[in-house]
Amino acid sequence: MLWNWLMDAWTQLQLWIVSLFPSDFTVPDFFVHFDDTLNGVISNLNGVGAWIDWPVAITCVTATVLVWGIAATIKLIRAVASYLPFFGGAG
Amino acid sequence: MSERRRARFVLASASALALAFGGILVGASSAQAFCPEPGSSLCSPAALPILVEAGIASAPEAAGAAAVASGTGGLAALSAEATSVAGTRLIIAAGGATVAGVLTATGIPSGTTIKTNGGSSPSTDGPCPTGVITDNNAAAPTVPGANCIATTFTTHYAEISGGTYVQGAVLELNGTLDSVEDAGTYVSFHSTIDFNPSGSGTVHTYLPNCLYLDPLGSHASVWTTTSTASNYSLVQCASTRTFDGVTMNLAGYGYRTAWDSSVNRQYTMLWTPNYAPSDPGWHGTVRSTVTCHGPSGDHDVTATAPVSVDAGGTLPVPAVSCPAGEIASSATVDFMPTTGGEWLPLLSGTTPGSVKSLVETYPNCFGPSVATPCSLQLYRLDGSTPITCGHNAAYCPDWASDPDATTKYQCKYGTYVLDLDYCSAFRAPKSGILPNYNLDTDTPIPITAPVPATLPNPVQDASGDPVTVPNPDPGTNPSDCWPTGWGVFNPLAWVYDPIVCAAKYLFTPNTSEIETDTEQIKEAWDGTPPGLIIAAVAGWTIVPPASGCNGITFDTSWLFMGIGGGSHSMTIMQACPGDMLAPIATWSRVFMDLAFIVGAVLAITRYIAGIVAFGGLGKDE
Repeated sequence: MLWNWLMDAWTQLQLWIVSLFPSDFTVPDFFVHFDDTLNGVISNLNGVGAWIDWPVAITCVTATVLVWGIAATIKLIRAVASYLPFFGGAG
Repeated sequence: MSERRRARFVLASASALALAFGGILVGASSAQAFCPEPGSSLCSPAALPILVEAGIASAPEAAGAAAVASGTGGLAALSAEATSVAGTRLIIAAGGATVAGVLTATGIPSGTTIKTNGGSSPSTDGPCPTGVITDNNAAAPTVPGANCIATTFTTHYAEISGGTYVQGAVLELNGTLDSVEDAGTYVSFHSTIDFNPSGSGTVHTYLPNCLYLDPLGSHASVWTTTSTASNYSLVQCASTRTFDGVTMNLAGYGYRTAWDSSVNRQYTMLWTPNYAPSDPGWHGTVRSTVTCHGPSGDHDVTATAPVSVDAGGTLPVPAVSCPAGEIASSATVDFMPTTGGEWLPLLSGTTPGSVKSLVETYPNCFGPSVATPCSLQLYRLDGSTPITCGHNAAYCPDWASDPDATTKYQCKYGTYVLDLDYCSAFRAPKSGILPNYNLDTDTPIPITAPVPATLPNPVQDASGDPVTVPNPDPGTNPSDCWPTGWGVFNPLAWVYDPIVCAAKYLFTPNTSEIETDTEQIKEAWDGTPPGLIIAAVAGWTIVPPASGCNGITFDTSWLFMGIGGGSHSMTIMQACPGDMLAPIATWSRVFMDLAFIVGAVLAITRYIAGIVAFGGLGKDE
């Protein structure tokens, strides 16, 4: 009952937000086909593959970002856990 | 981009934007899985009409709405057992007593069978027995001729065992038929017999019977007697005829007649069909034929199957169905013995004209070119764009009782806007799909029509699939709220149980409502600028970078301002084998690889070491 009421309220809130948006909006054509522009840039990057080893570059960047994300998550957990009484050592 | 990568990219894009917009992108609900057209309140295959569930037998509105096709003579020996009749149901009455449903809006479904009763092969009706029946306790004579079951009678015999009798007495037996198997109605039984007035033990006697139904059809009496007692009138039935099409496994009791009523005794009556030894059974071919009606006209679809069953067996009926986008306008099932001859009709039925005409009334919903089946949908007209009421109109629980419903809600079938009464199928959103059309009056059932107290279970939608009816609010069962049994002596139970009950009631979510809300929100967002942008991004196709040596090409035509015509371009960093820059490019790759690898190693070690406040490679902390 209470959960349903909350869901209904959440639904009504979102519907109200939806009603604020204009109903006659159309996505600009350039945005619809923006992938063509991106693919053009990527095509040019392909052309310099003799200078830059893209698979190595992508692998290194991806690994770096991934490890950064994991490390940041662990740090966040540690930070939150530090506020737990008798557990985190901050209280 | 491969499909996998593309899907991954789309998923990533959608996920990111979903987070940005409050998690509005939730997975497709089960209602969507059920309904092929998103947002539909009820979905049906293209061949099925908007007259959903017009023939739900247990719904009061549908009681008269079921199309009744006149049976073919002599079919009372048969009963169809098509228990799963989907779509707009047609009930075929055969022989005036046998009710069978074999025809759906799409054809004859698989699993349809015809049960043969004992006795001979179907034949034409014999004449109804005539005569005067007089109840020994009632003076009013009843003439059975008008209400006789028009059928072929074969001989049965009754066996009375377990009792004793007094020589010379007239034994009167009263019993109640458990059911008439074919019709599914109860029939009261009353017979009077006499028996061989000699000997003892089991008595066998042939019963000449007449069976007739009273005008209401709720009860029927069987009267039979060969008694010569003066207070009994003879039933003028041929002694070799009894009824068929009724399974007479009875449990009744017998008592002596009035002059010796003080010694009533219980008897068990066992009625056993007495089949003719020469009964040929059912050996031959069963043929199903359905006439399909579509935009291009009518055509027949036929299927045959060899059968070989004994009397009393079950005939399998081959399933036939119309192509998508067409309606089955009529269907027949017939049989031909292996000995040849003409096809014997077993069952037949026709689709009401109001259903058949849907093809012409809503042409966009029928025909082979219809890719998406039309569905009956209810919308709420609150804002600038109609908002769906969700699966089974669950999101508009009180719409039917709204006095302004005609202005607040809209009923559609595909792209066609209908009279709102057609959406009376959803007038009880909490209960299930209801009949929305009265085939007798050829009018839609009003949205204010009463809701049947007992809904068919399981409720089926027009496609024959079970309809998910929202569960009632959890925790409302009073038996769960108070201690029962030995628990009433536990004082804690009087506190614990109500609390748990209240907690369930308050906090247990209703899954179907959540799905409906989710579906509604998703649809609402789909039409907004964020939703459209998400859809546009999802439509992008990104080609991942690869290695090449052709360099970067620039369009330099603008430098020439059209002089000389043609197009001009310039390529830089071209380093394919043989090019002047190729050796340099090779060294570049080596250095770049080293730079990326060393940079990544340094960064990664620092990130990892940073977790424990260590600086990592290249740092002292």
